Amino acid sequence: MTLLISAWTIGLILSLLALGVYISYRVFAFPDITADGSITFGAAVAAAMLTRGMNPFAASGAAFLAGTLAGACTGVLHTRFRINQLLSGILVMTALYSINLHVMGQSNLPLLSARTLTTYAERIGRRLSGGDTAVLLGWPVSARELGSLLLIAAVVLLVAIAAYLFFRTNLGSAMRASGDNAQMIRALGVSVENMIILGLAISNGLIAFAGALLAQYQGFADVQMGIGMVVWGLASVIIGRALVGSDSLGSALTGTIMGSVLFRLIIAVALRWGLNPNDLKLVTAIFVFGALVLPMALGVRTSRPRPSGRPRPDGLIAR
Amino acid sequence: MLIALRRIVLGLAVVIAASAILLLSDLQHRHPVARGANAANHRWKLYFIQLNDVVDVEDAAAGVMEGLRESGLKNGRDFEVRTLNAHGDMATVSALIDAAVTGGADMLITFSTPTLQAALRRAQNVPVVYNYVSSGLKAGAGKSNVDHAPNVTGVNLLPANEEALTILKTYFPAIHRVGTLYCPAETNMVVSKEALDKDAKKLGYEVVYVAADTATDVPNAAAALMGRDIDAVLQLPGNLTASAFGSISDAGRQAHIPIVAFQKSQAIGGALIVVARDYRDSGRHAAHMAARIMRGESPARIPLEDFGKTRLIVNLDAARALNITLPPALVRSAKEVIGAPVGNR
Repeated sequence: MTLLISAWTIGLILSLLALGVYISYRVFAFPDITADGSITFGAAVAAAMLTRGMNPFAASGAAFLAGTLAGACTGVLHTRFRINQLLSGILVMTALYSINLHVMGQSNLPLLSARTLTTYAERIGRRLSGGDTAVLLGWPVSARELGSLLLIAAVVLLVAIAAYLFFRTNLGSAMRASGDNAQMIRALGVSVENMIILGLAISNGLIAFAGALLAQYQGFADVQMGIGMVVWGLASVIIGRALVGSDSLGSALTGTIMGSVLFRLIIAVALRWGLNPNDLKLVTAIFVFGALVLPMALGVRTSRPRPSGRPRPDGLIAR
Repeated sequence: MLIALRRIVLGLAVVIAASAILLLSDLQHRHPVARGANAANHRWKLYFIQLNDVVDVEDAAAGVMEGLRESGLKNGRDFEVRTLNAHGDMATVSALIDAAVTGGADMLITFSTPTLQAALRRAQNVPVVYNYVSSGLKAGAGKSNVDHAPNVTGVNLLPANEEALTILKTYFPAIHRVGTLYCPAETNMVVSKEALDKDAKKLGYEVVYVAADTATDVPNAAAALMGRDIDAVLQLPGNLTASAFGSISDAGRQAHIPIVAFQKSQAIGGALIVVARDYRDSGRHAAHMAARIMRGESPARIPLEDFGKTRLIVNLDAARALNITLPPALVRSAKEVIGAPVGNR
């Protein structure tokens, strides 16, 4: 049960990363690898503030802002200096590595004795369970785990609703449109460049925020924690797309979150089965494959036949 | 709209199914096991918790197994070992600890700083013995070597800088400026660097650091290091420099600069002198601590230890390649000599 709860918690935390990747990759079709750096940047900024005794909410907010800064840098490199999308991300990610070391002052900061969001989560959990441990369906679960899950779930819900509402405003629609059809939106007098910069800023803000939450939940920030994260983010977005099979905004956001949780659940199952540790990643890959083809094998149609043969490019873009 | 909703429900069903599978696999762990009960005839379930797959971690794990054997404990009779490895993904570290604890672990043996930190947070009722960590205190395990988290003890390992520099001072007085490759991302290396700075200052050496972040950086960084007018390489131990030591050794050979290192494998890899205080030995020492816990001692009473043993190894082949004759006194004091002396071939 503890494993289930922690898989959900980490899945939800990383769903913020996945939402960030969704914005860059699906909305703007911008393969942004800044993520590997910005998730650590968020963790580093939050950890540096928390070890100095600052408020956890302020620290998490600062992490978000730090991430927006990183994303904006990538956007500026691409739009103003005409640097290739991938390379802009690589440059900022590379630079962030050194910056993260400076922000933390060392390569790893423990947060075990600092006051973090987990402290508040523990308080919530205690109030709900009336002690250090609660019993859930017969399994003992620590109050901190329970509280963390509830807190993170609430945060992710809020972020998802905010993202949904934002992308339906004029600005948000313009943003989606600039990813869809830059020519058209430019003709309407919108600066596509500014849209990209803003979009990447929001995307990396979310990713850095995910990093801050992850550091507080795990109890440390480490300069190497971002390695490979963009891959997991992409995987979640694509798994999510396969799960919900629709590109409408609401479905896409929900799917992305579900994809991230599913991915962590699968790793947890692979761990629980106690397989040869060298096989962990192989088994994870096979399970993900299984989760993707299972609905198909059960005879559920993954996509409806299109009415009247209107051809549509396979959706990179949310509509 | 309805279709979209149906798909979302279907997706949710997959997520719920995965959760259910996880819970079902967890069914046998529903009631907490009494841990370490009647320590005498209990087969201990040890979990090795590792962050990544590198040579040093394999060395350390082999050392732990060796140490358990030396303590008179038999695999299969007194204990069984399961290994969990995050393969470098730091978001999996917490899940490793949860899988071990809910799987009924009697003791966790952690390798690396992040796995120790995750255990500190999530495994407060299980004894934890750490190794492959440069400083447990810096990782947050306690305030001092005796005042530490009650369920945690372990071995800190700092390289034998002072010993190595003393050897240089005694036998190679012409060497004043030493250089090392350095990976700023590895906590172990950062701590080692601080220690080396202090020791170098005390013994009057100047140290040049060149940074390398990935294995592909190492050849270039090593070449750059040799060009920095150094008299010898004093290679700090680390994940990266251990796995890419071949490149450092090549660069040193080409530039005719001797290499002094701290890991035993590097003597065979071309270092002239190795003052080995390596992860294998510290793993063995950690296993001795684990054995004390298995025999009923409380980890709270076992102080964290700074591992201090060293073993001197010299490489005569490397000396010949560099046209250096090693002082006979140095060769005599070595515990291990690699290669044949000059003229014996």
